[in-house]
Amino acid sequence: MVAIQFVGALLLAAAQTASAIHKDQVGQLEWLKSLVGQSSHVSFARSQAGASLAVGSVLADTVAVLSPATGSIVWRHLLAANEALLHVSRVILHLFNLFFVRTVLAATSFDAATTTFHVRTFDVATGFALSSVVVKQKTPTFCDNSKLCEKQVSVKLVTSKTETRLVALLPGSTVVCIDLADSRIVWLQQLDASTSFSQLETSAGNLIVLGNANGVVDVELLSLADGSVKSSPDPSLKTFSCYSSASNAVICNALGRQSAIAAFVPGSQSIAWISPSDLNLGSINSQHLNVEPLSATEFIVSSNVPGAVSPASLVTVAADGNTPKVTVLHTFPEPKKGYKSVYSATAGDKRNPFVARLSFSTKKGKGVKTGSVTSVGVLEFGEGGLIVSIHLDTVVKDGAPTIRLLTYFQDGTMTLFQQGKTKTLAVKWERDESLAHITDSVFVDFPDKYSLDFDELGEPLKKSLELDPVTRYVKRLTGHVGQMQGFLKTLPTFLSSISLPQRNQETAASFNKTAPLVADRLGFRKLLILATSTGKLHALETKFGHSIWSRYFGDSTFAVKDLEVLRPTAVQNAAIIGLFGTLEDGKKSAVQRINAMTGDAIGGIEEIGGSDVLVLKVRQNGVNVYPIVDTDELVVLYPNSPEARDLFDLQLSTFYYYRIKKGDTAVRGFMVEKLPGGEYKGTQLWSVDLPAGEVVADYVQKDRTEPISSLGRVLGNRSVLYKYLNPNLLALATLRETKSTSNVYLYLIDTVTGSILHRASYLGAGHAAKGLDSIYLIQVDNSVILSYYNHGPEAAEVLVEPEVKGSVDRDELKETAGSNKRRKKNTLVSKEGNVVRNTSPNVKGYEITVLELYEMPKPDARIDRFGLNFASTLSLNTRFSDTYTSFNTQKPSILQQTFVFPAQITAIGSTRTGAGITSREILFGLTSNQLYGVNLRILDPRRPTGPITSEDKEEMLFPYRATIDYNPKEFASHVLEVAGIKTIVSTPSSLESTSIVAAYGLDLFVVRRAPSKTFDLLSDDFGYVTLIVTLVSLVVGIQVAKHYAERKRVSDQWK
Amino acid sequence: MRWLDLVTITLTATFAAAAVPIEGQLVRSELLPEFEISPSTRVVLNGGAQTSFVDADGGFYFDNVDDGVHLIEVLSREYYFPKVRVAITGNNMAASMHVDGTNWNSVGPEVKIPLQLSPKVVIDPFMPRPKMTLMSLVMANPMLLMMGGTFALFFFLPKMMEGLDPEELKKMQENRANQPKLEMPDVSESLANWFAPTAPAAAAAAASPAKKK
Repeated sequence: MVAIQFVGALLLAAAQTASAIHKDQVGQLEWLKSLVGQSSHVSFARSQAGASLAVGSVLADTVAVLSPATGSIVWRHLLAANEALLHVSRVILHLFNLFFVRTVLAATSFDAATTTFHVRTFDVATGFALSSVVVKQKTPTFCDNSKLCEKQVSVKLVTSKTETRLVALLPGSTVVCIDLADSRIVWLQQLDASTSFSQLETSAGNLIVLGNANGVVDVELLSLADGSVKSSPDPSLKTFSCYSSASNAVICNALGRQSAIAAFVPGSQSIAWISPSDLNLGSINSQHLNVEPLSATEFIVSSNVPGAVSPASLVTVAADGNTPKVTVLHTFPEPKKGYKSVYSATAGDKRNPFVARLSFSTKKGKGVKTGSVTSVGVLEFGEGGLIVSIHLDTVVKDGAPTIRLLTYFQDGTMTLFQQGKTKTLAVKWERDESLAHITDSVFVDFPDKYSLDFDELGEPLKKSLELDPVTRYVKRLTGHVGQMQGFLKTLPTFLSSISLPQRNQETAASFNKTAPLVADRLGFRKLLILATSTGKLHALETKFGHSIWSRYFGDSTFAVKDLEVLRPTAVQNAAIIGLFGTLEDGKKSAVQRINAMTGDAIGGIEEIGGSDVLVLKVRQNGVNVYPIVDTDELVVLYPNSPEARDLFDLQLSTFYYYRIKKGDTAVRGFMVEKLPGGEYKGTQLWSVDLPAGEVVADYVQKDRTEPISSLGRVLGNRSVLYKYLNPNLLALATLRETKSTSNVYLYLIDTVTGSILHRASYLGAGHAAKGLDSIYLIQVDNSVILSYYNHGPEAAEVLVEPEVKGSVDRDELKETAGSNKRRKKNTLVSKEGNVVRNTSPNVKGYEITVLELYEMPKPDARIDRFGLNFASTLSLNTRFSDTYTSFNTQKPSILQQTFVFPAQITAIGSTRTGAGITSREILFGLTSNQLYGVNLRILDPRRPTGPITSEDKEEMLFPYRATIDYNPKEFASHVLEVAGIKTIVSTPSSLESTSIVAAYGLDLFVVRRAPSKTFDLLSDDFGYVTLIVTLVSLVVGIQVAKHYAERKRVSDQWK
Repeated sequence: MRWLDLVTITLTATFAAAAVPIEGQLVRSELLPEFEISPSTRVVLNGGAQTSFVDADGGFYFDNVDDGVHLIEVLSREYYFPKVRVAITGNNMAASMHVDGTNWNSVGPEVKIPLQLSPKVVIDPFMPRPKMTLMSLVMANPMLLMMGGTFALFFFLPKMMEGLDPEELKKMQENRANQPKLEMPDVSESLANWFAPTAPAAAAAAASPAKKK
C-alpha cells in the first residue's frame, strides 16, 4: 500500500512537472505588464533614500511607490478583495529632531462585511508595513462606496520628541489617534455623526476638525494628547475653514463674517485680519477662497470663482512678537479664464522658497500652459483625452530649481514630464494604466504571410499575370538569385544560430516594429485586443507584449463592454471586431466595427437598441449573425440585412436563449418567434426558480467552439466510457447563506428545455469571507469544476431539501456534500422527521470539486438517441449519430471527487489547443499574486481511492489524494508577481501542444503553456551540432572503412 | 453642539472583552538561514478574511480576533510556510501546525506563542538544465553503448583468432564444419528430389545432415 502510494506520488510529480521552464528561458515564453491602476492619490516624496512617487488607486485598490526617474514600480501592495481603499496620504516622519526624514504612506481602507476600517502605514522606501490598526465603525455612514467615503478621510502625522502619532479622520465622524511605534490606538473620539467631517488640520498641541453640518461649516478643536474636545481658538472662527501648514501658521477663511482672512500662529495670542484686496485677490466671497499650505509659514491663497480668472498670491505668516504678520511675497500673473492652477514648493524649510505654478485647462486637454516664477513654456499633449489631474513637484538641483510634472489623462495614461537643462519640459516616461481596468478581451490571428493577391515574389498577382512567360521566368530567376545572395549573406549568422542552443534566439528586444504584421510559423504571435473601462482599446501582440495599436473613444460617450470577432482573419484579410457597448451613460446600446489590424473604425457607431441588451450569436457557414435581445424580449438582428434574416429564419426553430446573472434567484429560458410583421420576439419557454434563500453565485455555459478530440474515455480494459457532451449545458452554482451557515448548490441545466440534469449540495461551502469571492465554475470537455471555501461542518445547514420549481426530480436532490473522503456517518434528523445524512468532512479551507459527465455509468453504453422526437425514430442513422438532442430525457452519469486546494483562488481558466488532443491544464489565479496550473489528469474523479489495480495502471490513473499538493514547478508565473488575476483566457497556437494564456485583473500576463510538454517541437537544447557531426563522421567513416576494405581485398587476392 | 459620545475611548476599554489580537513574526530558521523577508509577503487569517502586511522584521498582526479556531496562512512567492491553526478562548491562545486535508479538530505539533513562523522550503519554479558532458551523452544512450560493444567485437575477435595456434584453428574450423546445421530442411528441394530418378551428389550431401538427425 505504501509502495503504491509512493509510485502514485512519483507519477503525480512526473505529470505535474510537465510544463516547467528553465531559468534561462525567462522572458521568452511570457511577458508581464505590472500596473498600479488609475491613481486617485498622487504625491511626490523625498527622503534620504531619494525621490519617489507615491500613488494610490481607489479604483484598483492599490498602494504603490514608483521611481520618478524611470516610472517603474518600486513596491506595490494590492489590498484584499474584501477591503476597499478609501484614502492614501503621504506623511513625513522627522526622526532625531528633524535631521533624518522618513516618508510614510498611510492607507485607509474599509471592509464593508465587518464594518471595520484598516489604517495602515508603509515605509515609502521599502514597502514594509510600519503599523496597522483596525477601527470598528461606530455609526453607519451614508457613504456606501469608496468614492464617497474617500472625501471623508483625512490623515495627519504628529511628531513629538518622544513619539510619533498618526491622527486619522474616518467616515462616520470618527477621529482616531494611533501610536506608530507599537500599532496602538491612543485614543478614539466619536464626533457628531450628523456632521460630515472632511478635513483634519494639526497645529501645535491641537487638532482642528472641519466639517459640514447641513450646509454650515463646523469646526471642532480637539486636544492631541487625549482627544478631548476643546474650545475653538477664536469664537468668530467657529464656522469657517482653516488651513494649517506643516506645524506652525494657520490661515482661516473668515470672509463671511469679517470680510477678511484670519491668520494666526498657534502660541501667539492674537489673530491677524487681512482683507483679500491686500493679498491682490480682488473682491471674493467666502466660498471661493482657496488656501494651500506650501511650507511651515508659506501659503498660496487664491480665489477660485468658477469661470473667472483665478488670481493667486504667495504669502508668509510669521509671528512678530505676539501678533502674526502676513506678508505678500509674490503675486502670480492671472492665467487665462477657465484655467486651473496647481502649485508646488521646494521641500525643506531652510531652502529659499521656490514656487512653481502650472495652469491648465481641463476643457481642451490639448494645450497646457505652464507658468511659474521661472517660465517653462508651453506643453503640447497628444490624444489622451482630457486631463484628470496634474501634480507638480519642484526640487532645487545644483542650486537651480527644476520641475517635475505628473499628468493623468482620462484614457488612463500617466505621463511624467521633467524639466531638462534647457528648462523645457520633456516626457520622461509614460505608463498606460488603462490596462489595469480590462473589461473584455479577444484573440485574433495575424494575417498569413502569403496571400492570394500576391505572387511568391511579393508582387500583385494581377500584374504578374499580364507578363509574358519568358519575362516572368527571367523575373523569377533573378528573384531566386537575389534570395540566394540574401541567404549567403545571412549564412554566418544562420550557422552560428544552429551551433548555439536556440534558447537565446528570440527576445523582446529583437522585436522589429517595422516588420509586416503577419502570422509566425508556429502561431505564437496573435493579436490580443483588450477593451478597458477608461474607454481605451489596446491591441498587443502575444509574443512579447508590444503594442500594435491603441484607440481611445473618449470623445464620444461610447463605452465598450463586449468584444466580438465579427469576421475572423482569413488568409490575408484582417479580422473585423465588433465593439458592443453603450451610449449616453448606458441609455442606448451601440456597436462599432473596427479593423483588428489597424484599429481603424469601419463606419460609424451604430445604435442597436435600448439599455441592457443581450448580445447572442448565430453562426452558419462561417457567417455570424448577432440577435440582440432587449428587456422586452424583442429581437433585432445585427447586421439587419435580408441575408442575415434568411440565415436566422433557417435557424429559428432551433434557436433558444436564456437569461441569468449573478445574484439572480431564477433562470429563464426563451425561444424566438417570428411575428406577422416580420419582427422577432422571445417567448418564455421555461424557468427554474431557485429555492428560497439561494442566489446565483457563478455560472458557466459550455463552450460550443471547444475542440473535442475524443467522444469517449478508453478505460484500462479497453472499454469506452462515452462522454456526455451536451452543448446546451449550463452549470450554475448557487449560494445560500444565513448568519452562521453557508451552503453551495450546483445545478446542471439544459438551456433548451430547462430540465435540471443534476443537482448537488455542498454543505458548509461558500465564500471565504463576505466580499471575498471564492465560488468559481468552469466547464472543460466533459468536466465541470467548482471551487469554494469549506467552512467546516458547523457552517453546514442541513435542510430537508426544498422542491425546486421547474422540472427537477425528487431523486435528483441527493446529498453529495464535500468529498467522499473520510466520510463521517453521522445522521441528523430534521424538524420534519426526515433523516438527512450530514456528510460534510471536518475540514476547513479552499476546495475544488470536479464532476465528470458520462452518457452512461456502464462502459460501451450510450444514451439512446431516439429520444422523444418521433421523426428521429424513422431515420436509422439517428441512433448512431453523434448529434445530441436536448429533448432526450436521459440524464448523464456523473462522477464526482473533491480535492483540498492549498491556496486562495481569485480566478479559474483552462488551456485550449487546436485539436483538443493535448491534455488540458486548469489555471488558477491565486491571492499570492501567482498563476498556478494543475493538469486535468490530477483533477480526475476516476482516481482510485483504494489499492491501484493493473487496469488503473493501464489507464495511467494516479491514486487519490485528498489534497492537491503545491508543486513549485507548476507556477506559470514562475517568480513574477501577477497581481489581482480576475480573468484567465486562452487561445490555441498552431502547435497542438501549446496554448497561449492571458491572465488579467490588475496586471496583464501572457504565457505559453504546454500541459503535455512540447511533444511536437524539438527541445530548445536539441544538439544540431551533434547531429551534423554524427552525420559527417558517419560519411567519413564509411569512406575510410571502404578504403581499408578495398586494400585488404586486394592484398588477400595477392596471397 | 451635538456630541454622541464625549468620552475618550481607548482600545483596551473597547475591544479587550470581545476579542484578542494575534501577533507573530516570520523568522529565519536553521533550515533556511538565507531567508530574506520580502515586502510583498502577506499573512492571512481564515482564508483571507483579514490580511496583514509584514513589517521589516517579518512581524504581522491581526486585531480583534474572536473566540474560536482560526487558520493562519503566509502568502509568499518565494518560500513555503506551514499553516497554523490558532484556537482562542477568552485570553487563552493555543497554536498548532495544520496540514491540509486533515481533520480540522486534530491538533498538530504545537507552535509556541508568540508565533514565530519559519519557512520550510524555497519555491524554485525552474527546472534545472541537465549538465552536458561527453561521458553522460555516451553512457546515457543505450544505442551508443550497443554500437560501441559491437565495434569492440569487430576489432577484437579477429585479433583473438590471430593469436590462436594454427592447429587449434584448424580443429575449430573442422568442428564448425561438422556441427549440425540448424536450418530447416528445404521442402521444395526434398519434394523435387523425391520424384527425381537419380539424386545429385550435392543434394545428397546437403540432405545428409538432416538424415543423420
